[in-house]
Amino acid sequence: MTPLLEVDRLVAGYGDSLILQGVSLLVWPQEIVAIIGPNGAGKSTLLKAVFGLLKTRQGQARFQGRDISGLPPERLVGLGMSYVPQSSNVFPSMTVEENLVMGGYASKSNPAARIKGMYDMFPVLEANRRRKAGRLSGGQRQLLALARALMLEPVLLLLDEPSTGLAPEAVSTVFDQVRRIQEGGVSVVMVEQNARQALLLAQRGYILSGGQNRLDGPAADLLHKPEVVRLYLGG
Amino acid sequence: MLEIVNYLAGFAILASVYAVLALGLNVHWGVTGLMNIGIAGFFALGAYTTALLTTPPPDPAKFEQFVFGGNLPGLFQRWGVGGDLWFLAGLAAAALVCALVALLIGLVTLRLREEYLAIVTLGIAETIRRVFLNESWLGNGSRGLYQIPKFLGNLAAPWLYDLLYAGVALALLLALFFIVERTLRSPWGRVLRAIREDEVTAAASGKNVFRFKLQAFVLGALIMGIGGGVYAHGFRFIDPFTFDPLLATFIVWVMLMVGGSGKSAGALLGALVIWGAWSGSQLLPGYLSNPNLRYLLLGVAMVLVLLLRPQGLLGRR
Amino acid sequence: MYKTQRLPRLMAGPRRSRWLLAGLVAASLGAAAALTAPELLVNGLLLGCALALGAVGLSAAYGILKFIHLAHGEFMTLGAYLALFFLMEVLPALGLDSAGLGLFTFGYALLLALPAAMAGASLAAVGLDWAVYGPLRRRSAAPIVMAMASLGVAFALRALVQMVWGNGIHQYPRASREFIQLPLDIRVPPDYLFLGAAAGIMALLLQVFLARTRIGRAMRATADNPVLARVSGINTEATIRWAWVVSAFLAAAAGVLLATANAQLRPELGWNLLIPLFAAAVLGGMGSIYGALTGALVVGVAMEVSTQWLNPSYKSAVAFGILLLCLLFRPGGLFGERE
Repeated sequence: MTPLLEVDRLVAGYGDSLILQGVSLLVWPQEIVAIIGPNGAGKSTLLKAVFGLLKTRQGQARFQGRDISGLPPERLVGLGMSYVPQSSNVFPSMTVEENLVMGGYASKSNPAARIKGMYDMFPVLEANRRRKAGRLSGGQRQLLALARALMLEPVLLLLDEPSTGLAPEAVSTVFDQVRRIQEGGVSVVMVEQNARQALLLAQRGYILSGGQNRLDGPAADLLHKPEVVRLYLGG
Repeated sequence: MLEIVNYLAGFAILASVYAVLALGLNVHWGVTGLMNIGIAGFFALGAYTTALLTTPPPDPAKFEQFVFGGNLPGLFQRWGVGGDLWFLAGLAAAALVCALVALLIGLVTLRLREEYLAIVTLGIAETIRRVFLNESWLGNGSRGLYQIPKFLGNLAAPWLYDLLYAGVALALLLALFFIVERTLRSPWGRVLRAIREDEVTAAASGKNVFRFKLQAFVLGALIMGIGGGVYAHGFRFIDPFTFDPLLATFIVWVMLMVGGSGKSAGALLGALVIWGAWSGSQLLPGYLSNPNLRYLLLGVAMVLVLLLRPQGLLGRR
Repeated sequence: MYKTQRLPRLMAGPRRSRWLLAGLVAASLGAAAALTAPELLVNGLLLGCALALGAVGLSAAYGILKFIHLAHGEFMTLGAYLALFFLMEVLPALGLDSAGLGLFTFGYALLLALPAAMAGASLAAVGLDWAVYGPLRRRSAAPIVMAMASLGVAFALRALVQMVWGNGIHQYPRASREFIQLPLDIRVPPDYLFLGAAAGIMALLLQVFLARTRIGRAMRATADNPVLARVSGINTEATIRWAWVVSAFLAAAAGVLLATANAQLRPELGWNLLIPLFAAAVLGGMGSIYGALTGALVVGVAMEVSTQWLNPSYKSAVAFGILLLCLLFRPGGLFGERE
């Protein structure tokens, strides 16, 4: 079976500084992979580099066996990938419904059916369909950001710190949704600051630090490894 | 022979005036990052201030419509102050007026998004020009002020005045250059550069960014005002059309960008190069000396510098 | 080097309090104007309509392109001169030659020249994006550097116009027509009514374009959150090119209509309107279309009514005064962000 996503010793950064110094990663179909680590480790940068928002200097990324290094986001969306940025992940002056329409932009077909599907999955969005996205609460915005990313039925979803700025109940709501997304057949790569909860949710985890891989393995194992607990899980 | 000498003297005077203006713009843009596209306004204010202060009172017989002529040379003579020191008093007044206007503008706009400063300075320059054009009682309207007194006029025969004044202008330029350079190398100047590099960090280290920007804005403006004063006594005639956006604002920008913004020497070099090219092209045969072609090339030069070598001739990347 | 600010919103939905404020401002100004000089008020509204097209293009451009486009006025000038070219050279050569269509001083030839001029200006805009603005943008140039480049473009464009058509005043072909007589002894040139109607229609079309079409939505999204737009699969480079087309389209229309109504044209047309256009856009809130329309009407009326007391040469100074007041007290404008 080919992995869904394969990242092979990726080197990337902004301008002259290199944040990622040879990171590797594997994602299989229909699984949740957590990426944790200290600040500045390059977790968000990894997602951006894979999704074509940054230039990669060295290394390769392959999606469904196909080399995607250097492809821009517009192409990757068409191939079945989707990305939710950490902050600023909705269109604030557009309504909830318009946000969903934008999510389906890359497909010329009528988004109405898909939107209905999103409303079934996220009833709170239907209740607010005519509200401007900038007026939603933090938790509602995060759900909208997820829904926007799901409009084109991706097989791989990249999430950048979905729990940022959310109250604990909102975090569990979001994480529940992520599990349901995975159960629907989508793989999720989730960068998280909230390491413990992320590892509880995920099947596998990667620990990055200083732009490099440190540890990886089944999430349950990582949860119980003493160094991990000490360094990253605040224990 | 004399004609060539006078032509070169005129060239040197204007090049020096432009160099002073570019020096002021460098303090605004090159060092502090403030986009001032109303240089013409400060230029005009400075020129009109010293002209009005030093011109003899209006003579109704000559249909002079302006109301106030300070006649500073006459006053100084009466007070027994010789040496044509009224010239320095006039320049100081020009600097003061520009400093005050800059202070007012700065208080209003420096806290806002920086692009707004650009439009406001544009509007100020335009308004100043219109005021001088319409209010004949102020500056004789479209007829302008002529016979602005010579500086050190007694020292040279009339046909050598330009040459003498070119020396004066250059000396003033060099003096300003050294003063500005010293100021920019001081701790104050270093803070300005830090603000341009990274405003957020500068603010975080406790500097009152707004106050520094305001001071820089005032400094640059008063330098421009002095440039206006130098112009007035060199060419001895000013009218509202002297200070049009192309030849009193935009060309200075091109000079600074070509010479190398951020460095005072860049301002001087740019003034020389661009003014040289501009004057030189007036001597070219046929269509090549079409003024509109010159304007076109000036605009293109600005764009090319930004695209290909934004640091200019002397700047570092 | 530049501060990252909250991005202005294209088509900012006006809240009820904003409508109230705008209504109050407009009503009090309107009342003052009506009481003192009804004819000037009407002239002002019509000037406002002409300004509106230009201001909407400027404001929308700022919303999507994120910088102050100082060459916007020159697109107006270019449009006006291109239309003149079509009217005087191309269309007569094709045997289409007329003035005096109904009440108006222009003929149906203008209705052909107008779209041609708009297309020409849009071509120029796309060309400039390819040559100048695009490369700078892809280098992540700061907005102020883009503004400086546009300053260079502005002077270059004007010089080009002057090289081709000369520095003097040009006349638009016109058949002299009567004024329309309104009550209160107001005389309105019919051309100005056409101007107003055209401005209104184009603004409406723009509204529909942005709200209902795919490209329009892409533009709004790009203005709202450019990174997310890319992430959603929108080709933001193409969207930006379309934004230039729309901006130049509107600017050229504004220039042609204004030149037609005034029957004369000079190369400084666009540059002289920069300050009133910015006053209108800032007053309305940069990035807001409703705002640009409202702001333009207010500025237009203020400019015309001021001639009651001030030398007409100070009209743009009046606009500048409005701009300053706005920046002092409410930099976000009527419909923009609270800064």
